Amino acid sequence: MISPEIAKEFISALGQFSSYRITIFDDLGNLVCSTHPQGLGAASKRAATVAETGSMLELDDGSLTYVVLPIEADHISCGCIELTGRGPDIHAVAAALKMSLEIRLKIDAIEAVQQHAIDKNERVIREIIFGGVGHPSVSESLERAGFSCEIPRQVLLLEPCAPDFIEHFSSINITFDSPHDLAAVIDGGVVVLKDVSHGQRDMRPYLEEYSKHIEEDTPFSGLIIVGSLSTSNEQLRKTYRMLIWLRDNADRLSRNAQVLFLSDYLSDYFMSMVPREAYADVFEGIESISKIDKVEFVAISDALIRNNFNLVKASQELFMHKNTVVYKLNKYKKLLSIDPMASSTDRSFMRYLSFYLRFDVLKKGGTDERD
Amino acid sequence: MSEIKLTRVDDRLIHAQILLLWVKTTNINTIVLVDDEVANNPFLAEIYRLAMPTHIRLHVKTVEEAITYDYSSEPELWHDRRTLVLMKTLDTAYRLLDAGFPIESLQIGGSVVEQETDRKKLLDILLSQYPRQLSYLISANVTIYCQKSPQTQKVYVNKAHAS
Repeated sequence: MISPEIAKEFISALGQFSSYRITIFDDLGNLVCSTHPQGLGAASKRAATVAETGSMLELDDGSLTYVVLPIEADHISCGCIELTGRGPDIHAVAAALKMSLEIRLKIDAIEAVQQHAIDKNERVIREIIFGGVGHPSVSESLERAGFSCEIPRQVLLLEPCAPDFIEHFSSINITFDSPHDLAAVIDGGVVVLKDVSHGQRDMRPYLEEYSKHIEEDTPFSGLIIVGSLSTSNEQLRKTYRMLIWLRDNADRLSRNAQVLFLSDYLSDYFMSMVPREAYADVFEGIESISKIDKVEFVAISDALIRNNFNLVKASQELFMHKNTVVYKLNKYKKLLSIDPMASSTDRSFMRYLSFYLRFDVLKKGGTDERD
Repeated sequence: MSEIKLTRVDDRLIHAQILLLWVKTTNINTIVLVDDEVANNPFLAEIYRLAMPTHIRLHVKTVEEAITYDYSSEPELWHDRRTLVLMKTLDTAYRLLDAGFPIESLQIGGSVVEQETDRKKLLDILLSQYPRQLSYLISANVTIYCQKSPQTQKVYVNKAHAS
């Protein structure tokens, strides 16, 4: 069956270019669309004959040439296309049109199958990552949808920086080394349940290689967040939640990074799990904390943490002179009796205090208190 | 990053194999068809354009236009343009390279490769049809290989040496 939408698109696009009458018929010889739809009685009979025999038909009544070609989809006749007129290129044009229409119908059919598979993936992934009380286990969800639960999988989030990747996701091939990967668009990003059978022995390098494949061999550009701890399928739901946390804190934890591995941010994750009151119990009583500029302290600590306490890199990120950062650190040293550049314990203190002060900074909308 | 992912010579130009295999395997989202005849025939160009799936943009250019065309410019459909440069003959590849179009690697497909897989015979056919063009491409250190589909082996006509 020739899709009426595709037929109309062809006729409306080509009508303006050609002096030939172009007509598309279905497999019974019924008119689907034409550049000149009047007086097609005889054409309909020709079309029915071609559709039935599957062979080309050519007629010449002295004033006009009629070229009728069958249109096939998967080697089955699904209609025909007729060109009527006078011109030296009528056969070439008819052949090109047949080729173009057949390709388009084939692609359309394949895309429909792909869309169906993606819809199925989306259903199972949603069930796996959002399922709660009363919902089936991950293994049950996988098996019910026809996917093996014996295959170890890991979650990845692809957060594209441009909408085109999501818009055309069904046409993008993200296959790496396994046909058992599941992927679907969920809430503006892509969730991939990657088959990691080939990476069991050395998970991190394997997932690095996969991330590189996504960046280089697909049109994706944006942030890739990787659940990089070896776990069972039953943990996929929890891993997804951790990755969402990492996504929401990505900018704070690693500015401009293109790939984030969950295993690199476990201490930050655990810190975020501690209730604010626990931080308050420790820090509220320290009077000198009220004397520090909270916004500045958080900004400097974040930059130092992100850059592994490398002063030069941190000051570059802060657009400050290195000596200015040293001056600020000396100020904290006097006020709080900490020296994060010399002591790992003080680095932890700075990290926890910064995390605690962030609550206040965020509460004030993240605005600079000095304004 | 927008870039040319594949440069292919194929006498059939746009056909099902290109759109269903090569485009899918290499995640092509833009095709630049370089052919003076098609570019100068808007009707034929439109027929090719109609064959495209919705996620692929086709630009039909003459050799001259293809040289000045900005392959990394912001496209109307894709943020990152992954381009297939497609041409009918080795003569077009020769003309492009001669005019300064960068070709590091050239894939040959189409009817010659469909019929023959033996390297020696392929070379004989190509050299008998395009002796001057092929010699020029080889002397310019272009990697040239024949490949029917992504699943089949590459048959190298020339492997570029490290410069």
